[in-house]
Amino acid sequence: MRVSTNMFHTTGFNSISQHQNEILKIQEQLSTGNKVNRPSDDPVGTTQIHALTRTMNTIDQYSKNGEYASSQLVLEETAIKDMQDVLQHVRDIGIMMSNDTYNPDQRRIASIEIGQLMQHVKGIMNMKNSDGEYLFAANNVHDEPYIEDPNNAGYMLYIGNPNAAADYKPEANYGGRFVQIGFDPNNKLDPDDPLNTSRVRITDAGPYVFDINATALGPQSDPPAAGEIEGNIYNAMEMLRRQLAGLEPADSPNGRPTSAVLEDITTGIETLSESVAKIGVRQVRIESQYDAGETFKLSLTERRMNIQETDVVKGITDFTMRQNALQMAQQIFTKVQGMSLFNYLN
Amino acid sequence: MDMLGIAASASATFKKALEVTSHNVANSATPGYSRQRAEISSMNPVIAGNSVLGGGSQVNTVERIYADYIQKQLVSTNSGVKGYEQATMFAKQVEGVVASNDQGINEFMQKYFDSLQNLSNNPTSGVNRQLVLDQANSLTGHVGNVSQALKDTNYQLNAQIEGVTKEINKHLLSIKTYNETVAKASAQGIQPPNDLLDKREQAVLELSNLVGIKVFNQADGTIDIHSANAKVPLLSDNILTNLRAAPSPYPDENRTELYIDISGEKRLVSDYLIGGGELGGILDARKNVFDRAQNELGVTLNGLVASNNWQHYMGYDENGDAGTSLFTPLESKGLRHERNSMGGGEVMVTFNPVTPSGINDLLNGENTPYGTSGQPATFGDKKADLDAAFTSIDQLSAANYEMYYDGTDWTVTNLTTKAEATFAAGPGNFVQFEGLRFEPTGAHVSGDRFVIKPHQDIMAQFETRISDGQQLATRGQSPIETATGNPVTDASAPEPAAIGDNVNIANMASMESKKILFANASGEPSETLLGGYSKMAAGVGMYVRGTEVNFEAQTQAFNYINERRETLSGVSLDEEATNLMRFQQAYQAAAQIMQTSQTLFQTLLGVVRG
Repeated sequence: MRVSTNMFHTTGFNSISQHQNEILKIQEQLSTGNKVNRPSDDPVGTTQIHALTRTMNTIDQYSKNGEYASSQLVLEETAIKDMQDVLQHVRDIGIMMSNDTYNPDQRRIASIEIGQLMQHVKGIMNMKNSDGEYLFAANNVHDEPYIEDPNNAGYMLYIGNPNAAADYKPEANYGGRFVQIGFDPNNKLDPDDPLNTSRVRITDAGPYVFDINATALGPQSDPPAAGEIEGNIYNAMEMLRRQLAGLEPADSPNGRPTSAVLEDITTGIETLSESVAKIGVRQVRIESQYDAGETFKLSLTERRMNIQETDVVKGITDFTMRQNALQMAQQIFTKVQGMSLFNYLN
Repeated sequence: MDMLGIAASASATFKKALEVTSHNVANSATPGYSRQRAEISSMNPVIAGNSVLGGGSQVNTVERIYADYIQKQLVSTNSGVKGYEQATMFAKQVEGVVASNDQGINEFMQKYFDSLQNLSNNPTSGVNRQLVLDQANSLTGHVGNVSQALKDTNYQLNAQIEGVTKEINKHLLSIKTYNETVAKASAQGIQPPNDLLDKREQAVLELSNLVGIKVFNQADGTIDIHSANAKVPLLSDNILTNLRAAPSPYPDENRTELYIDISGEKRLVSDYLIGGGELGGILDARKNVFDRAQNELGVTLNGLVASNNWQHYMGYDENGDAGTSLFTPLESKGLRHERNSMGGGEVMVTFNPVTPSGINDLLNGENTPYGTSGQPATFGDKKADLDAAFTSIDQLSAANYEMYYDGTDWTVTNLTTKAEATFAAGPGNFVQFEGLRFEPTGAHVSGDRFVIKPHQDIMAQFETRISDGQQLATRGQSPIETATGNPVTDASAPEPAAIGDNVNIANMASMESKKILFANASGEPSETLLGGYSKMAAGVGMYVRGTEVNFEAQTQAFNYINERRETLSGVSLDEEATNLMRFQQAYQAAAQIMQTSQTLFQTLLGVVRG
């Protein structure tokens, strides 16, 4: 084959520029640590990277949601446990005072103590979280959920109770806040969704926590009949206080508490235990979702790494190889330049 | 022929040969130069009696070592190389703007949805409400930047097309001049005008850098030049057809197209020129990457705006009022054709599904479908409206549209798939096509034509409509009928849930993972919003990848053909060195013959003188 002088140049230049291009590519991959730096590096991989990144970010957001939900539930749990302790103490007082060794005066003093404890309980029932939302008000978070019973002085009722008259808020009976802690298969939340495994409930309506079938308070129909006393823990305590103070002489001679009211308070403690257990289950769900999410994320991270990141060892090996090839090409180019017959003419 | 005569012819021959060699050496680095060779032959013999005597040597012609078929291949592969190179460069620019891996639109979209999740955790928090608006504004701001960058890219593209067109015309003119000279030289000369032909070939090769061409040789030595697909004549019978870069027939489109004038008629030829050369490359990238990426990104944005707005309409804000448009709804105005009547009629494309409830105050310029007309009769009706909106969203298609009025009917055409919808003209008439509502307004005359780009327009229009966090509709439908106390059913009247409710905002946050775009054959949406973005990014990546691979393949082909050309036509300095020695020796020998002839003559004279 005839070889023209230009061919030495073009061949030399082409191989040098080819090696330089490769080195540039390896340089970018090694310096960013990624082999996919833009969609064109791996169009199909890009779609997967996007999807993986999105899933991982979403899992992160769900675990953030879980943390928030958990903090709210801890608040609720602490409040309820606190109330349990108070109620336990009240029950002890009640049982103690049913003993004949105490006289009406001592019982009246005990009733004052209970009155103080009731203030604490009332505070818990109308407790707010750090954002100023009432904790036990379902979604009606801006109205005080427990108010003075307009029909029965001294007793309290939930504003979802029709007997609240002007303050009656039916919406306080339903709904609750659901926080998403996992992937929702149909990505939809219905009003007061009863079964949505991807979400956890973080608020409860007061009646779910504090309502008991209090026999000592008289009949409690559903829906409440006009003028009935609401069967809740606070009202049971009020009844006990009244009996100790001798304000309910018909049922409790000498201010001795009736067995009915003591039973009601025991029921109250049990109801609260149930609520604590329910909250515990929710927290376990958050925990296990979090763990599942983290495990899932680990495998996703690994997959994304395989698609996106450079194998450094391979990168460096390639780099050295290309570098040698480039140096070789450059040397050959300079050597070939010296090869001319004209050098020997004289 | 005597000895002296032979020596004289030989010295002239080798002098000529040495000149050709010098010319080759002188042009060894001239681009497009084909090496030349002196064709040496013996002169006609002298017949003297019955003996034949040689008559010396002569240079018949100076031959140009050249193969037409190699040169033609070189021209076509060269325009391929330049075409793919330009397409890759331009597509990479678009890739950088719309499809970066980090801190791109997907990142901002993700943050927006995260902020919705946060608000859903605590819907009464003013801070969380503000955060949603801030993230929405970051997203719209970023899209605004992208949109501006794309607009600038469009200007740059128009300028580049105009510049390249000027260059093409300049090259065509110089080829035309070479043609004339070549024709003249061929008509009178004995020897072909070698160097002139080389220069013309070089001009053709340079033209192929700019546009894909096909060259046809003519009998008179001139060449004709057509576009690579032979559909656009550029130089025919040495008559020049100038390419003209001018605005498209839709004056407001701001898009430069290419035209030629054939017998006084202006013809649009942009699509014929797609392919080779700088011009072909950028036209290809404009059509297959720039337009497509914008439309695909636009579908994602339209999907985001429509889905978030309609879910937002379902809910109630902090004050219990119906949710209003969170993002500014799409309002895409048709671009007038330059030959349209001046009646002032317009066409408008919006996202307004036909609501089953029949209520849609958005059409009356209100900010929510449930404004003056109030809420639909039941919660079920309202849900049906939302479903209708989602059915429209999943039909959105990444395309531009044309609307044409023939005097009685309007025809809407998807300019990518050519799918059509027709509806009768009349006040208030419209058609719901591929998820969008096409509606003419004002007076129109038969023949009016508009082009509409709803998915490109949304990029420029994308902004947050709500400025007060209280207006975010976090609350959903009340879980009970407040009037009766019964749990809600589809027959219940729409009414807001309590203030702490997060159902609506949770549903908006869920939109991130929900497949809402691009319905498949069975009507099921196949992509999430971020998936729609990914699809666009992958499309751009795929194009860049494809043109890169093609560029490399074409470069290989070009190098191979260029090597063949060099093997045949390239100057080898070593070869010229040997020729130099050879011809020099022969020249010296011829001179020696003259010397010998002289000596012989002197000897003879000496004998005569005695």
